[in-house]
Amino acid sequence: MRKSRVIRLALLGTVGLVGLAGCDDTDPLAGHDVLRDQKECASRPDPDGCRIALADARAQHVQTAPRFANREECETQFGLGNCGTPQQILSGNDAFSAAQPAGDAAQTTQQTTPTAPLSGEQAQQQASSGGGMFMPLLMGYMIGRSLGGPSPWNTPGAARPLYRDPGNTAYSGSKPLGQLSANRFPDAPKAAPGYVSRSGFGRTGTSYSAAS
Amino acid sequence: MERLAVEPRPDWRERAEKIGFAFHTIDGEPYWCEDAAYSFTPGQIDELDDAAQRLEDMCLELVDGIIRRGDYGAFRLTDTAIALIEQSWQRQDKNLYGRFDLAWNGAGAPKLLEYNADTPTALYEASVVQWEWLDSFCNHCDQFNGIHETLIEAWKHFGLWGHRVHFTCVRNHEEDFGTVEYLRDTAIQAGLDTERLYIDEIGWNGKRFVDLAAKPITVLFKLYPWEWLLQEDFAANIQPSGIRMIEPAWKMLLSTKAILPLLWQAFPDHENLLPASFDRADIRGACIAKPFWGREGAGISRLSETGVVLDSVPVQGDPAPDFQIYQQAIEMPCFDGFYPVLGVWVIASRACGLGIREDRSPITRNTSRFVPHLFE
Repeated sequence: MRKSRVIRLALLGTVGLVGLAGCDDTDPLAGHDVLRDQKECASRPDPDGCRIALADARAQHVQTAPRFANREECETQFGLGNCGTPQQILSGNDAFSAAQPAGDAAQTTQQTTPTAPLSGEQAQQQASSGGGMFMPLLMGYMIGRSLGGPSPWNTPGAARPLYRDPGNTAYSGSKPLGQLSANRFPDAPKAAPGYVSRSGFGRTGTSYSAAS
Repeated sequence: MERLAVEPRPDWRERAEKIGFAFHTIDGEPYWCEDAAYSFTPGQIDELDDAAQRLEDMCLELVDGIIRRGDYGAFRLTDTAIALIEQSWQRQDKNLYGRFDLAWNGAGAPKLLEYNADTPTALYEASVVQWEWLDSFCNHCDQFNGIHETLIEAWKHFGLWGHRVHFTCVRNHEEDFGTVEYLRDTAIQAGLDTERLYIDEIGWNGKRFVDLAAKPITVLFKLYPWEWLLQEDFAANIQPSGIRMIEPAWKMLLSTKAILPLLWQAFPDHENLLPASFDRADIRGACIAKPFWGREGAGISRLSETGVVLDSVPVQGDPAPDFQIYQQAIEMPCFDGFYPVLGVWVIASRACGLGIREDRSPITRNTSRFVPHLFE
């Protein structure tokens, strides 16, 4: 009620609501295909290009996914048998390669990837490279469905790494993408004790606005 | 009070977007409309200000009485809800905002149509967008609009230092998201530490609510009705978690239409109230039937003296309302074929601004248009 006042906004403004709101999609993987592993590149155009793009995405995952000091902490958030070290992930031990019933997956991971004690040097390296030694395993790679042409894989980010938690929420890098469809991706990792359950609020609001 | 025909600024869309107003057009129809504006005298603005302040004070008195007497019969609440209401009231949890929708044509006393006490929207357009419009429309005019600074002041006095305030709403709803982001903006300007997440992202770790980084949520602003929260899976976790919610649980008592008859009982013949009752027979002449939990006009119908439905707004998806209240029908003020509803904002229980929505039908619903106002 004072004519001289000026409204200042901290968050909003030229890159405010428009940009942020535009990021949301009902199905995070709408318009995308998901490749579960590099073998699936065989049926894609330019299979070699595809493998390289997936390897890049894998490297990106190791750099950007959250890290935990120990396996238990990581599994509390991302599920039993769904965590590994960067080395394991880079050498190709993705979750999808053990995409069996969750209990088996946990066992498989334990059998095939005994956690060898790290040498002092390795441990130090990892500590200095930003936090812990365990991170969620990849569940696959998200690619644009429209990828076509002679070498569709040359675009940077042609494939994005994906991982998920026991609630079947998909993530890429450090960002949650949203809830995956249980029909399309039924094999979510099994929750560890102490797991944080989600989606306990919001059911009523999925079809209506809360506005009044 | 007049409705002025106004020349819209040719670049109004760009201007709106520049200040982050993404929902100026809804379903292809302009929602923000500056081809008209309502003009008031300073005396009329004082009248609206006073009416809303009186109503807010009456509402707080009503809540205090209900809780003191434990008299929740009219509200059809669960024991969980009552426990949360009492806890939040005894803890003196502060409330942030509400909007009184008033019918008025500038003469006589403004009449309360309803109170949106829990999840009101149309806040950003009232606070920021119409102010930006006034700035370019009229140099010497003023506007009933202290919403922005009152919000910042309110956050400063919430006693939340050292807490992180989480802000939440549903996914994929631009208007709700915009409202929440605006409120978060004002909290940040008040010096608070904030975080946002969607309502379905809220986690429960067995002891407390947590965000996506597994950090505890101790204070939550939710643009999500209490009655929805309480019918969902995490409802039973609210009280043991000790979480503080904004709006607080006691606002549940004010966010149902039950308060319209209760206000009329507590303050009979008050000039700002319309006769209202739980019993149709108590209301003489035509009346408006309103569902307990209605939003955006849904489920409201106009009944003739003999009970014939004259006009109604269908309810989308929601089951037909079980409980209704009846409010005396009045002739709604009409200007150039439009029916305006005057939404007076109360922030931390202080009346401080006005936003007008108008509709071609006398029942304002979610298709109504927002129109700016001024006074001089």
